Parts: sequence; C-alpha cells; structure tokens
Amino acid sequence: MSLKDTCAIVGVGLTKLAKKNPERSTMGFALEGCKIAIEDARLTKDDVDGLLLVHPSQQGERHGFAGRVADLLGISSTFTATVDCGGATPIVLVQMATMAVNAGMCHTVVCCYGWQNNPIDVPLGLPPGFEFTLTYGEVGANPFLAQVARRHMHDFGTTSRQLGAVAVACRKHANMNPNAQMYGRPMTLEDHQNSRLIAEPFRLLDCPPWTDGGGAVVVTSAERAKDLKHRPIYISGWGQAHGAPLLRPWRRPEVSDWDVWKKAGEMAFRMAGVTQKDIDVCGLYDAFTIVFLLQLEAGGFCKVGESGPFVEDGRVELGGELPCNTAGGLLSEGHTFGFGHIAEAVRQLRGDCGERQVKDAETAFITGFGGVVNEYPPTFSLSTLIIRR
Amino acid sequence: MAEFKLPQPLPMPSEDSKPYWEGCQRQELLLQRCDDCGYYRLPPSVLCPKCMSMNAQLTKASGKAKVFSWEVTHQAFYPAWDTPFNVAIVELEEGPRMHTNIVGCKNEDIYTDMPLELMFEKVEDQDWLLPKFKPAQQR
Repeated sequence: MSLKDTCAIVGVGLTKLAKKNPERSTMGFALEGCKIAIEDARLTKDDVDGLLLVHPSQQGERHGFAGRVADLLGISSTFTATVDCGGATPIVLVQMATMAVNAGMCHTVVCCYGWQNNPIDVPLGLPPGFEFTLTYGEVGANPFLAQVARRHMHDFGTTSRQLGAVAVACRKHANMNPNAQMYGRPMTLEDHQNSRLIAEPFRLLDCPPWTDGGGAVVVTSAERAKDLKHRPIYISGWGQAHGAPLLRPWRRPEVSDWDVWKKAGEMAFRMAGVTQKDIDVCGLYDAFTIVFLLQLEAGGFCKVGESGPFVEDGRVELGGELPCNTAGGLLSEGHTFGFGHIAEAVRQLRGDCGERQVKDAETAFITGFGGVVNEYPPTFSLSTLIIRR
Repeated sequence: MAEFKLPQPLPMPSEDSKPYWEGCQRQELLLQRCDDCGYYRLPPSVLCPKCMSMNAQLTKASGKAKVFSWEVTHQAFYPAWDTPFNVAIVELEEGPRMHTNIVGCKNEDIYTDMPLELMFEKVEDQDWLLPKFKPAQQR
C-alpha cells in the first residue's frame, strides 16, 4: 500500500534564529518551536497525540528526550521517539509521522528540534570513543566534508567558485527573508573567494553559521487536514539512503563513492509519480556548500559529477531554472537541521512567500543529510521528501 | 595561532579495537583479514562486512598506501594542534581507507594518489604511538 498523499503538513514554525541566544535551553527551543507550529496549524496542544524529536546530541548522554518534550508541552501522546540521523532527521521524522498515523498509532504528530549550542548545564569536553578521528585532529564536521569536497574536485573538476555559487544563492535569498540569520548582510562570489580558510578547501563562507534555535512541523491525516485553516500540503513521496562516503568498510565495485545516496532520490520520485521536471522549488540540505552539490546529484537534477557547472550563472537562484533554498538555507537562514527547508517549501506551496515567492509553485523536493562525523566509519544518511499542494 | 593549548586526545580503545591499538604500540598496523572470503577490513569489527563471517586473523599491513583525500585545518574547533595541519584519508595497499596525518612534507605538496609509507609517531608529550604516513621513497 502506498502512503502517497495520505498525510499532510498543516503547520510549520521556526523560533528566532541567532548565533548565540542564551535565553533558552535545547528543551526551551524545542517547546517554543512546537508552540509556533501548532498555532500555525490553528490547532491546540490537545489535538496533538504524537511527538518526534531530533536527537539533541550536544546534550550529552541523556535519555527519554522526546517523551519529556511531550510531557512539558502538556500533550497526552501515544507515539514518541527521539531519532538520530543528524541533519537527515527532520525529514525522517515527517516520514515516520506519516507511517504512525497510517498505522493508527496516533492522528496528529508534531516533529521538532531544539538546539542550544552552548548549553550551560553540559560541561565542555570531547566525547569519548572517537578513537580513529579525534586523535588526528579531525574534530567536528568541517574536516570530513572538506575531504569529501577535495575528492569531488579531484574526480570531477569541481571548483571553489562553484561551491561559492551555492553560498551566494543562499545569501541572496536570505536577504529577502527578514527572519534569516544573515539578513541584511549581502555577499558576492568575490567575498566568498576572499573569506578565510577554515578547513581547506573550505573557506568561511562554505560553512554554516552556529545557530541557536528551534522549530517544528505538524503532520496529520489528509482527512483531518481538509478542515484546517491552511491549504493542506500533501506528503507525496520520500526515500532514504545511508552510507559511509569515501570510507565504506565494504566497498562495492559497481557503486561509486558518489552513488551512495541516489536511491533516496529515485525512491521519492517513484513514490510520488513525478519527475524532476515537475519540481518547482527545492530545499537542498546545505550544511557546507559541497553537501548542496551532492544533493543535486542524489536528486537526479544532474548527473553525478556535474553539479559544479550546474549551479553556475544563477541557475539555483530565484528567477533561475531551479530555485533552491529560497529562505536562505542552512548557510544563510541558519542551521535549523533542515526544518527551515521544510517550513520554506510549505510556505512556497501555500503561496505565502511574498517577495521570494516562486510563481505557481505546486511541487517541492526537499532533502536532509547528516549523521555521524567523528565516530568510525563516518556515516551519512540522506532523506528525501516530495510535497505538493 | 592559539596561545591556549589543550593536550591532544588519546584514543580510547573499545573491546573490538583493543588489539589494533596494542599493535600500534608495537609499531604494527594490524588489519583483520577474513578467513572465509579474504577481505581486509578496517575499522576493527567483529564480522566481515562482505560475507558476515566472524572468523578473521589479524595481519600486518604492508604499510604502502596512497592519498585518497585530505584537508588542511586552519581554524581548529579544539585547540590541541598547531595550525595549519592536515588530516588525510589514505587508501592502504590492502584496500581499506583510514584517517591519518601526512608527515614529512609540506601541506602544499600533498596530492591525490601520492605514494606513502607507514610510520609511527608519538602523540605530543604523551607515551602513545599513532600510525601516520610519510611520502614514500622512490620505488
């Protein structure tokens, strides 16, 4: 049985996004995000009976997080889970919510995240167990994604200026979004090229900002969605693929390192019964410019290796052939783990985007990407979602 | 760059990786070779990701490798290393890839497929050997 169009996204919300906001904890941000999304749907908390949460790894070894969010939100839930696929998680939550609603476990699920980058109740320190990376100075996400970028450059001739084109597109859009962290801070390709090196070949402007914030989306059955205030945005297709790029312990000779995630794109288009030509607007995961390029390839918008030339000349900007990340993306709206991409795609399909509205947008393709960076082998998940009005 | 410097973190071996790190302290890079299909694997694991066999022998790697990819860290999250420094992914002659540092050459001189040979280097100020790689002598 296909779950195509059986559920809809009926509410979206993001908190204020800022580089540092010591006024809220991770829990506080998650709760505020849930409130905004539930109110956007014109629902009350008593209409919600499921809660899914992105695993807040900066909180250290803590458990039962989703259940506690649900209880502090004051909902009586019959379905909760804390899910751990890094930046792929928000879309995975929407997929799981749809499955749970169809399985009859609940009828309305709020999917959320909260992120306080500098929690005062968690001591600073290196986590244990990262024996094969930390010891060499490979700390955080920058070095590994920089190694991925370097190899993409070697295999396909991708250039730093092409990476820069992604950053420029996102910044251009963020300057049309007053809620974006980088609003009012325009940037050119030359600014990108002149920004300082962080993890070569990455420059500062290849990397996302630190973002304290939270967000949520509300998923309910298509039946219930019909009676709500906003036009329902139907969940039409999805996919997932998981792999350890460049380091796959078991390397299959017939699958190149760059083909690991293509299945997730193909699965979504097959389920939704549409093609890349039907997509009006994209939200491609962009924690680092190279990740955006990998998503274009995984989504089948270009061949593997051709994403660099694809993004030149404004093709992924508003007004271009494939407008992407119209709220500014992780790179310039803020690092929302991808909730920003879901929220923006929903607003585009509702027609609520004002100055940055893609005319007559009917169908959107969104991706999430993330996972383990320092634990071995570094393994990444790709999640995909096709939604339509 | 950073005036404030922390000690470099040492690996904390797991039950599965303990023999690997013990080998490193004897200056041996140990790979597991599957008894049933012959596949070499790294990181240390209880079963073969090719055939799922749990039978394997620890074998000493030849030490020959080549550069697969690398980055040069200019701004470190964790102030334990002098910047800039490289972290590379190298491909061992036997097949597995691993993270490491390339030593004995300038960061600017590293290139893809650069031939390398294994060496062991002490973690700064600490009694612990890490497998690293240096440019191979002319072969």
